[in-house]
Amino acid sequence: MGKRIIQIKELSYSYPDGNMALENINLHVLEGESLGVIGPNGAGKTTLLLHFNGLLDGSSGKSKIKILNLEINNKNIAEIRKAVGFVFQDPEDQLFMPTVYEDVSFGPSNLGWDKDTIKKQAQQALDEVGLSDKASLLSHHLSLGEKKRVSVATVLSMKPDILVLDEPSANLDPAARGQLIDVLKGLSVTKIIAGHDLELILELCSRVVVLDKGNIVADGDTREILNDPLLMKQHNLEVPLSLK
Amino acid sequence: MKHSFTDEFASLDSYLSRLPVRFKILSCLSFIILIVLTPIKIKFAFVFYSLSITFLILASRIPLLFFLKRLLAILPFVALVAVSSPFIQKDGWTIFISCLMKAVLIILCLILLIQTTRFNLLLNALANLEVPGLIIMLLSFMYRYLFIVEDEILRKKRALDSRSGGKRGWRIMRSTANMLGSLFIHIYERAEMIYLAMCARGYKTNQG
Repeated sequence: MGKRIIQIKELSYSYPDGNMALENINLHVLEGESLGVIGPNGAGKTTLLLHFNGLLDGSSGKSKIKILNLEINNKNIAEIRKAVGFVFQDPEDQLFMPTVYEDVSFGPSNLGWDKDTIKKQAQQALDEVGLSDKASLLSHHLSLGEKKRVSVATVLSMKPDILVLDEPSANLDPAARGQLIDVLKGLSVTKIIAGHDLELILELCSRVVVLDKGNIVADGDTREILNDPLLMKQHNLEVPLSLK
Repeated sequence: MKHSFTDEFASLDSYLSRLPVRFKILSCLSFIILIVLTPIKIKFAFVFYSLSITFLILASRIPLLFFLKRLLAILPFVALVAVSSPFIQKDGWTIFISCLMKAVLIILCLILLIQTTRFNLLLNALANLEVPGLIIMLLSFMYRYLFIVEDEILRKKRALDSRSGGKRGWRIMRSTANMLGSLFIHIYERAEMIYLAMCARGYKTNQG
């Protein structure tokens, strides 16, 4: 395990309506690590994830967020967004271009790469998720499982160092879920995965943090934490079947 | 749920669908300008235009009924604009008929262009013709999200029907209004998320 690729110190965030979403979060992620973020509905998981590439600005007061040793500010934001690939929960939000290829090449074209590189990266990203034959299709003609994998490809094409996934397996059927897990397993980048699919977290993540009411209530080895019935129950979670 | 109601016949193979897209756009545009500029008095010109459009419609292999349906959907708006002319102008009726005639020809022409070209190819060609990137992006979002909004309306309508105890029309007006309200909020929230998704992939507001 390498250096600290993400460092968060005393992060608090409240939404404009005054609702406190995160409170005094301290967290670091190591390079190459797979981190699971779990917690009940409304715990602040998505809010925390949105901070990882500066989509929410939590840099007020004492809080400090450093990604790849860069502080989030206007000067660094482009570099940070290149380094952090964010996959939204709903692929309909993620896929906004008419065709699959245009979507996968949207990120690279914003990075100012030349046409050949963009094409090569887009093709490679589609290969990685096993959908290279769907490049010319319209996004709304894909199945949800395919949309989800294309969503992953749209950020892989930017060659990110960190992959952030919000509820990657939500609404997927078992086969599509399995394919997605295989794709994610094959990627060697640092991964942060939020969600309620604890079996998936168990399979993909070596470390997990439990978030509840905006606070980190546990941080440690995935197996140990998920196997703690009392802790799980306290935070509206459940020990995965495979650990029972 | 899958639909493709904006360019549902675009994948139909015909002579027209195989023509280069830029050529189609430019000739469609020139034809429209020609129609607009031709005075209604030159009757044989309109006979010629009508015959050409009929020929192209037949060549497109798209069902005639489809053209008729689309035409009927748009024509009331044209009629609404043109209907005042017979009352306030001397040659009112001629202007009214000329308006309708030209509108029908132009609408048919545009339906032909859109239905024989896949929408993303149309956008690419427009981009090649130096249409500003922001407009292309707006059009592409419109195309992409029309389907999703339609799905959302369908889902909400089903949810409403399933709980409205068989009532329909004005009797569930209040619930329908509420449904539309929540739909707008939903769409607004989705727009925010899409903007975040764009930013997350390096989009900057001033480009395009």
